[in-house]
Amino acid sequence: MSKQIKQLGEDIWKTKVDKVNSELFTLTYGSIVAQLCRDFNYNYEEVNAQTFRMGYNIGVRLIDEFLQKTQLPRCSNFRDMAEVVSKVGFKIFLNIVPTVTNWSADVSTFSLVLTENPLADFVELPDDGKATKELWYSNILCGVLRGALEMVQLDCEIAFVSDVLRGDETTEMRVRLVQVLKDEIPAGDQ
Amino acid sequence: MIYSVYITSRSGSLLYQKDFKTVNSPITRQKSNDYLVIASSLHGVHAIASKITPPDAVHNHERSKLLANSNRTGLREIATAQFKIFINQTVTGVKIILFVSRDVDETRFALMYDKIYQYYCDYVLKNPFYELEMPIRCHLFDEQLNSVVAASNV
Repeated sequence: MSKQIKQLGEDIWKTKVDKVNSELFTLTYGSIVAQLCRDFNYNYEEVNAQTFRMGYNIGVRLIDEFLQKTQLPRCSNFRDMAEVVSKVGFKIFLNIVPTVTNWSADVSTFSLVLTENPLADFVELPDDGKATKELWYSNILCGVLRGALEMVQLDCEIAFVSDVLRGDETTEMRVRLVQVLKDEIPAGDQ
Repeated sequence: MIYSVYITSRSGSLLYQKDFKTVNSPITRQKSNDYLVIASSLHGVHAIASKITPPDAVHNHERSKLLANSNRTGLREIATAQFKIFINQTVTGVKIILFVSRDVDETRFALMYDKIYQYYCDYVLKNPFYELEMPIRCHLFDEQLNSVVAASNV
């Protein structure tokens, strides 16, 4: 199962995805975050909220493209979903494969460890003593994932717990399944 | 031949409807209100079909090589003496409904559906000014859809 998913992600990346220059992408995102920091007067909590909201709006639209390209059916359990998110989702949109790890005992929470992060190339956080404690630079990714999963009726809480930009050893996103919105699953599906 | 395309939202409201001009089309023009009724009726029958299907039937579906994605137990197809209606639903709950000529089978429908779904993702969802769950008024989508229809209506 896991191997097939990996292969699927790679095939789609090679054949179905339009690519852009990664520097263009990195610099665009960087200028958005920098502008938000200026606009909100370096209130990083607000910047986190804004990037999350932008991500959410992307995610609720992006999910359909993901489903169209992969032709995947609904995942039958949360473990499979984590595999698909990392090996297909991140692969086809960012060409990275985060490691799925740190499962909680009840299989409702896991971590995605981003060994590389194309958003954060060239980035150093501002040296104001606050940014490295408060700003989650790549918070847009949490928003995207949250929006995308919500559209397939998975209500999840997603947040960064560490980031190499802050001087941590890894960049880690924590994903917690709150509930499956059973009532909202469209008729005709399981 | 594709005679008409309908797209409905997760809640069954009509997002998009278009009839295409073809020679001897068996589809007559309706009042705009009637299109809403058609869409929501199909949505309802789809849900009923799914409700009365026993859960075990899903496994049969997995063995057969029908369209992947999401319409496992709902209404898929209606045939009349003049035309057929095909329905498929994405995992997010959007339905793409095609009114086609009788010679179109499930395999050909799958190809048409996939193209239309792709254009829906590209030209509707990626349009930053399109609001989700609202009627689709996107020129680029119209054009792409026309090309799909033209290709199938030769």
